[in-house]
Amino acid sequence: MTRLRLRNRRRGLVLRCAEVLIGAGIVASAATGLAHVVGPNGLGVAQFEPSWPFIGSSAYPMAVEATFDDDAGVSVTHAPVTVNTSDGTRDAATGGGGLEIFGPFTGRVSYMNPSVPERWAWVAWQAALPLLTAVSLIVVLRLVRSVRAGSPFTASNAVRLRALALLVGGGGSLVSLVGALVPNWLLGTSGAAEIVHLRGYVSLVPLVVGVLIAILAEVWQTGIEMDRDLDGTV
Amino acid sequence: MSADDSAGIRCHLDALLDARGMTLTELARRVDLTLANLSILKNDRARAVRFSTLAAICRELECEPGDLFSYDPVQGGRRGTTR
Repeated sequence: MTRLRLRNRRRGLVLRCAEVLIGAGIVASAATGLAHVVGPNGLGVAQFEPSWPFIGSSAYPMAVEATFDDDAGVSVTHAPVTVNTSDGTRDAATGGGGLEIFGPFTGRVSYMNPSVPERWAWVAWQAALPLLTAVSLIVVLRLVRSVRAGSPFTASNAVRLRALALLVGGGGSLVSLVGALVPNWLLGTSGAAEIVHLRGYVSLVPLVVGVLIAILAEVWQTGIEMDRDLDGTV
Repeated sequence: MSADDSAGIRCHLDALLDARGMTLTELARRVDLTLANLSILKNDRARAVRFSTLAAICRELECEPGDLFSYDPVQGGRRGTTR
């Protein structure tokens, strides 16, 4: 078998494995996102037990993770006891180094009877990232399939890369913004507003990654033009 | 890809293979080129040939580059490609 055939066979195997993994990622992400939409907190079409961390989580009560203020009255009743010894402050139970436990403490604020806007804002927040991931992975799968078919430098792939840059950069930034606004709104308009610390953090990572993919798309376009020049070269 | 891409250069791979009693498949295996690409060259559909490919073919067929290619001024003048 020639080196070319061996290399092609190896590449085909690697690409097939990648396709399988990406396919699994698409199924898992789409299932997670749709589970939030059709689950008990969304349309209520499906009722299921949380048997899997990321698919079953929509069966939990609608809840938002929150950091409690110092004056919220959250405390630890069974904190480790320390004693003063000739070797310094020691942990009374183990004799090791002394420990101190203090806040801020993080917990979950659960909404027992959310209004329709509150419920759908929460569902949109929870479903946005997995659904965006599923769509992005579909684009990646098509890219990988074109590599296995032997012709990755096509105009279609240039469009796919640009779309991926938009999905990751634009979509990801939007998901990050929603992830900052929705919990703040839910907590800020609830009875827990006075005792939780409202956070507002928008990640720049999706934007940076989106820009990098856009740069890759331009490099790909150059590759397409070079491939066109080489077309017919033996 | 059309015949215009050859720009009037004719490939005599067929004749050389017949003279040496070698098949196109055997030559493709020896020069580590795909049969499809070697067919493109044989049928005057190639737009360019790498020196490494040319050297490998000349090595296996024990010939000179001038034995492999010739220029057809009629074809080249009528269908000359421009860049």
